[in-house]
Amino acid sequence: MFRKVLVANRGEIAIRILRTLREMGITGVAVFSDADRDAPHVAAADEAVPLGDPEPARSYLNAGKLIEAARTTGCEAIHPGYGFLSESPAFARAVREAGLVFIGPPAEVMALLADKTAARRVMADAGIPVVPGTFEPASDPDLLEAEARRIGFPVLVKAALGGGGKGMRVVTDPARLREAVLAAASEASAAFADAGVFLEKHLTRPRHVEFQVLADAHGGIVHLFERECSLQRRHQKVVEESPSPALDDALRGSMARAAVTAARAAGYVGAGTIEFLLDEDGHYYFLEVNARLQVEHPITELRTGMDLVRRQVEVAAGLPLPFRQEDLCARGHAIECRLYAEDPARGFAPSPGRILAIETPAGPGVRFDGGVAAGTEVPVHYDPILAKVAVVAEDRPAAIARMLRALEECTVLGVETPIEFLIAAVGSEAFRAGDVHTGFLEEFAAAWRPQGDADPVAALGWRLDQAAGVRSARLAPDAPRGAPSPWRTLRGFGR
Amino acid sequence: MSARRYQVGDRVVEDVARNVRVLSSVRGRHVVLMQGRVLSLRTARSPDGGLWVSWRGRTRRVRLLQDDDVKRPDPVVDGLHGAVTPPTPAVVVRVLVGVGDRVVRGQAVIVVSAMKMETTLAAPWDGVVREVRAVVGARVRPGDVLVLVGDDPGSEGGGDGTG
Repeated sequence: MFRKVLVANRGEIAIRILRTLREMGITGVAVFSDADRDAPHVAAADEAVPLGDPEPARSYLNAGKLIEAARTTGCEAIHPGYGFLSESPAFARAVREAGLVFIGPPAEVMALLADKTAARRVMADAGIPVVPGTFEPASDPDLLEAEARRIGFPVLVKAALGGGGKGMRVVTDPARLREAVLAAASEASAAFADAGVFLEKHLTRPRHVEFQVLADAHGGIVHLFERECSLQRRHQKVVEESPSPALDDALRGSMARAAVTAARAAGYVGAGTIEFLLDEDGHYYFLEVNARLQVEHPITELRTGMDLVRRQVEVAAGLPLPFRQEDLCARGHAIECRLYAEDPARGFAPSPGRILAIETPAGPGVRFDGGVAAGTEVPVHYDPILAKVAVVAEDRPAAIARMLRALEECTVLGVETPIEFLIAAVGSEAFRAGDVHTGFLEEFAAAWRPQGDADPVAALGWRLDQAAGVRSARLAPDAPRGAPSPWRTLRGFGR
Repeated sequence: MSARRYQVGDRVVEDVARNVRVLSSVRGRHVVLMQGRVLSLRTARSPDGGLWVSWRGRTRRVRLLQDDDVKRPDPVVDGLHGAVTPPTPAVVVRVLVGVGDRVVRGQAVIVVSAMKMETTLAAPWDGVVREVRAVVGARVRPGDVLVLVGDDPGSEGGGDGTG
């Protein structure tokens, strides 16, 4: 087993990985840019290496600096987390050539899967249904315009090397295809260093259902059941749950077999996710493979009791999976909500800034994966994810109630977050009925406004803050606590 | 005697809380009893003088309104006619128009990026680009004027625009 591992990431996922490394007795090494000097993921590590310039290309996306950091600290392996270089075959190859272990699939498998068009070809050949669209990457707007007409609008423009909704655009109006292709190509180029895009038919009201798979280097492959991730905005998942309310046992079995077939067809090793779209008639289509740990992996961990990061590290160290499919089961119902620094009342606009205060939920069945602390800046350079709230309970209604309770315990001050919006969405009749699709959240957001009941409480908050300020200024430090004081009751205060 | 007024988000709210008993109030954590009901609040002062308040997952930004408070200037409505400004702190990615270009309402003029997401900013109405202050790569904030769209020269008897 490794003695020392570098975590080539930041934020909540770096902390999550560092926690497992510590549990495994492995020394965890963090990296940080100048913008992250005071970030909690650095504090959570045993050792840390500065990367300098916050610009992603010169820090968390800089393969040379990361490999150098691993070498100088004597690491044997690099865990890439998600995002950044986690799905870069070139990085995986460079890590291997530097004599280190990349904790993820082999570079060749990543190269195949990172090219979403190549992956589509492999899955179609393996007999797995794929979404209608193009099968070769391109960036020529003329060519793509012709293809779009063949497929039929609306179409999705997607980055061939994309993921996480970056470089993705829905085009309904043919006249808008050109700008969408250019914008997607530019975003793709910035995020993934490749401008190739492809087209997919935009299915109406599909659900997003994915299967977690685990494969070792010795031919062992299992699935760890599904996650439904239909609540999205801008094609980025916001709420995930497991099991999916849309699957019965027959459909679950069929999709699980397809997921294992897909992993085998790709020669997959490590933890990965096979994503499907499920249409209203119960037909499923292969979407893509996420060749990494997913943001939403905690709900699978909550239902199976398994530590997926530990399995990743073990598989990377060459160990076989210690179980077979028939040994696995999942219990209860789990839900995760992602907290991004963004304002759902204003089209989910990013809301960078300084975190002034944070309170995290706790109690039975609650897991909080956070990456920010009070006093730290949410940098404009990186993904706006702050934290994830995940819950597990006996069944879906109990899990919903628990999530609502956990969200109410959650406070983030200083940047806008969707906590209140998530309370409304998860508590909505449609979500309670399990009646959702990938467009649900944006439709719900368009009609949603913050409720007025918190407004007078906010005004009271101003008075309390003022009174506390006056009190701390006027009272001597050793003033007896609990003694009657005009400052302890606000009756009629300020009139 | 009227109650004090507060700006909460984009609304004006009167402080109607009465018979509030403060149970504890330490470093931004407040627990009060109001007619037997427990209210647990978290507050934090923001550097701009406003106050963030959170209660049961609901977060508001609050500001006490003074009697002489006027509405804050809106760059589009007040004075800066036709200003295109970013909705959030961002970086300018592409400038799609030049001075003198004729634009139509809704036409993309600037693309900015924040947290790896690109946002296209549109012309507020039909007109002619008077000024382009945005430079690709520049860090910009809400209120910064990136592009200024003037009235259509047709209505001014102009006609120097080349579009």
